[in-house]
Amino acid sequence: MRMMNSKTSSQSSNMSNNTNDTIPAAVAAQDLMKKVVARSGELTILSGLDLQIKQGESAAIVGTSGSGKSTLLGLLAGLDQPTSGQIHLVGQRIDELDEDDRAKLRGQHVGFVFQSFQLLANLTALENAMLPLELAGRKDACERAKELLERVGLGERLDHYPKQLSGGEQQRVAIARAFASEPQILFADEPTGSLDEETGEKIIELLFQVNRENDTTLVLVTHDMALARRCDRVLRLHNGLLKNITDSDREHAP
Amino acid sequence: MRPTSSFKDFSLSWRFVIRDWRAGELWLLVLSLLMAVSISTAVALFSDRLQLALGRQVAEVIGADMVISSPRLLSEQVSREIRSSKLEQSTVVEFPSVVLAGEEMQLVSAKAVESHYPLRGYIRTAPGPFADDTPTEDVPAPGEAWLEPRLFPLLGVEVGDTVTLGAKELTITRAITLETDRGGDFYSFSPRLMFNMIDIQATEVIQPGSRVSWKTLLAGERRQLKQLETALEGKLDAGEQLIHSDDGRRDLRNSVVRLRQFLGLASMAAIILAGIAIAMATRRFAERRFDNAAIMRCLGGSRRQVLNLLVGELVLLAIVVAIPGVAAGWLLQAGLVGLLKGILPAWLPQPGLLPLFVGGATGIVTLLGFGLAPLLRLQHVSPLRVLRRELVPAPASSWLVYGLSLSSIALLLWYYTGELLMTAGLVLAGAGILAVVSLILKVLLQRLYHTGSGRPMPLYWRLGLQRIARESGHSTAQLLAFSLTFMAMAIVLVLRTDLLDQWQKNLPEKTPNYFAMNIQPGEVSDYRQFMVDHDIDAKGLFPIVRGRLTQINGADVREAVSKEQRGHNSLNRELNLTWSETLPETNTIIDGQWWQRGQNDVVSVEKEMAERLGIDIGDQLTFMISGRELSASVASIRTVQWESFQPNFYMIFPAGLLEEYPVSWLNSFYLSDENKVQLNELITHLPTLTLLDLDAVIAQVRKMLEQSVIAVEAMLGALLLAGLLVMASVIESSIDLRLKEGALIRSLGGTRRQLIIMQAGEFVLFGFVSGLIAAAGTELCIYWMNTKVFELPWQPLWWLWATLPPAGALVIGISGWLGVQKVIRQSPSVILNDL
Repeated sequence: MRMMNSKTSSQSSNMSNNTNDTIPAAVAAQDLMKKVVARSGELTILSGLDLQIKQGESAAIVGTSGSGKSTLLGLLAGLDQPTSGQIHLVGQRIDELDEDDRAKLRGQHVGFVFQSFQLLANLTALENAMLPLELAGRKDACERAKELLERVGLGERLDHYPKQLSGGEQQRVAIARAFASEPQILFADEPTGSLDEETGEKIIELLFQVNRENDTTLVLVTHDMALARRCDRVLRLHNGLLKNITDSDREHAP
Repeated sequence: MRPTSSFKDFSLSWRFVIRDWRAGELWLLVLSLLMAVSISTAVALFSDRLQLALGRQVAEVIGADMVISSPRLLSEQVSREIRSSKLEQSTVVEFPSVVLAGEEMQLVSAKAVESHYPLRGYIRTAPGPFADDTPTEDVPAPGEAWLEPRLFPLLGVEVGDTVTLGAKELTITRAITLETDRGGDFYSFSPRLMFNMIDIQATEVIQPGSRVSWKTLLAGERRQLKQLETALEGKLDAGEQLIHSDDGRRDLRNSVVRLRQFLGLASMAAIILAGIAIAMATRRFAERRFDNAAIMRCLGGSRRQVLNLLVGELVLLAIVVAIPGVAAGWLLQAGLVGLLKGILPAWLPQPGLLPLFVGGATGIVTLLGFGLAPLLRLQHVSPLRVLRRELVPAPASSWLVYGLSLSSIALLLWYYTGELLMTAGLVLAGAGILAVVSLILKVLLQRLYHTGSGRPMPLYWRLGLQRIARESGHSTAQLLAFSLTFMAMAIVLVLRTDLLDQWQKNLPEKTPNYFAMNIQPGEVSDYRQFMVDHDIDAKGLFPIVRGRLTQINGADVREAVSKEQRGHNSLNRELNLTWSETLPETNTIIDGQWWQRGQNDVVSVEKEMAERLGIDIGDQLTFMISGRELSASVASIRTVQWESFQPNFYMIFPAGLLEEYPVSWLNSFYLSDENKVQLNELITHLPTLTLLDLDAVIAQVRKMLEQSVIAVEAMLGALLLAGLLVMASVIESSIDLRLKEGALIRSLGGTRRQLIIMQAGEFVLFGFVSGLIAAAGTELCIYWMNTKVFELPWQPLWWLWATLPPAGALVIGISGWLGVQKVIRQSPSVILNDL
């Protein structure tokens, strides 16, 4: 166990050294540890993992249910605090920031797409897409949100409430919202998890297309290998550590 | 940066209000707020107007809002001030004089009036003596005289005859039966003769040294009266005295004070209930916004921004609701006034603007007090909730929840009662009891959970019990909300019954409507015989000796009392002293003892007078009676029912002590309308007798009590509405959880019947327990209020214990069952998808 741990971390730190020289990482984690106290005692979810994702790169994090994918995503996006270790977002160390500063950073540089869409039920499609812009106090919120909704093909449904939209449409609204504030990094948590295959396919197409157009760094958490393969890089979370999956590994992946 | 972003938040909040309203999220909150605002506005307005109106009714008794009395014409300086004040004014001159009619002559109390007399109240006249009378706005025309009915037989005259007053001949045109401003010291009246002020010169009665009383009646708005009073400060001569309508009648005052206390209490109860409904509604409002808060945090909103946004939404809502709320309150009050048109004084003054503001502010204070704590939880929502929905912020601290709501209650109570000490005591006691009860409830619920979880029992029972116990904080809050609702209603109901009983007791069917005064000692047996012969119910024949209190413990009474008390009426005029072997029926000894047979040189003093003059048991009082001194020590202090329409006395002596002084007797009796002709006979029989007709005054008081009863019942209705709101909001506050659980049970094969038993069973249990708590709480409160506030006797209310728990079970059971229809009807898949 110990051995394997040191081996993996040296592996990834080598890798990060290589990239560090050229472009600064959009997302980086060092020796990231997350423990939680459960009824059965202390539970280690992440046990000192390292990670570097370059600006413009797309990375998929895969793993079985309960492997801690969502925990890792929450930490990388600054939604949660690690037990120990460092996290950098767009060159800024965020584990030392307080919640409000992290929120500000998220507002400026980060977009989210979730499995359950996470739209505000009492806001229309347009209002949902406007929300991050409004929170940031931007005056062009309405125009910008409209423009994005048109780009995701919802120009006709601006005034619809989430309940009046299909799952795929809701996820399109979420994508428009995620890109509204022109983030550098997009975190996506099982973005197709609640959609049927065909709709999921279309959503993924859209996601990658918009991602390319904006040159956004994409961090995608999924258990869908087909989806994961579309990313530049696939990382498997297992026993609290990350491992790069090569193409040969991918053949054997579940 | 900050101001622009707050402004942004504000406009965003506004949009949230609109969006949530469209989504139907806010109706319960809006209703609760509307309730708090409209009730407090209506009550504030109504009691303001009622208070003004009652002031007016009292004003009728002095014929004006303010009177300046003087032994001569007012000084030029004072007259100028009055002229510049723009108040309505009318001058009255009263003097004793002898009137002649042929051979007959009679001492009368003559009164010269001007055309606007009286400014408040009215007079009633009849075309002849003992004929039917009607109110009139006229005054005697120049050359005319109106006579009190008993003067007709005394002078042997009829309408159309002439009488001579001083040097002027006047023609009798009407009989005057009532002057509302003739209250006060009615034991020393001579019969009335009223004539026009224009004739006063011609009578030539007013000479230097003659006993004349000038009264300047004034009426107008409170503000103007106040201004004049300030302007006159220090400018009035020794003989010139300013009298307020506030100094008015005791018989009305006690009932009015009680009514106001009652209205205040009832509206407070309604506001607290609305507050509970608000607390429940904001709790749900907050809980339903956990996701929104998390998403906004995730999208870059700061803690403060999110909180500002959502609290801002609520505050905006409160402000928006305050406007229709105040309007509704105004309408409510106007409706009440309209409903009471027949019995309210025709001349109901318009309320001030203050009550409108108070009503609106009450709503906002209630909202913040009851609604802020649950909302503050929103700042602790973790953004991580977007990934892990089970993350719920820590429940709002009970200290904060109850602390804030109690503070807002304290603030309102303090404002409404104006008594800091009482408020503090009440709120602290309430907080203590609340803490103890909720602690007991919590422990019981947890115990229930532990004993329940080990035993085999039907699934739906176990689920129900588990939910109650698991959410013990919420369950306790619900139980308390129900209990407080029942309690408020029970208290108001009990008080209403007490209040009505009390009034009924003070004004029974045959309340004495005549006072017979000035019965000479030699006539007493004749008088008694007359009453027996005519089967007139006459009780309590009292001797009266007029005397002045001069010394307390050997010190001059003016030195013995504080400066403020020197104006007390009892020091400025002769008192009616009486003697009695037994304590009068409506009196109660509160200190010392009623005398034993043979005890002499003692006196029993009325409580308020004793308090004002600082008289204690054992003090030596000295009286001046017909030029002689009499001393007696205080043996007892009594309370007196001033509103009882029985003769009441400040000072009562044992028999014997006063007998050697000049004495006349006083009696009160009841005479029905059809028997009133007998009065002619009585007056002819005993010509020196003075009769005072109280019918009009009693009718006035009755009207006022009737209107009070309607007001009280309207309050009860409002309270009922508030109670229903609380129930709706409590049920609504847990509906999401119930829906989810119900859908799960249904999808796992539970029948609708099982669901109904589970859901309704829980409410029935809650209702029963709340009923029990409410019975205990009501008992305690009534005990406290009766002994400390209203000074009424207390006895346990067994019917409360018998009715409240089953009634609670029934009411909550039914409303709960109605409320969870959705849980039972809705298809499980729809619900599970929705949540």
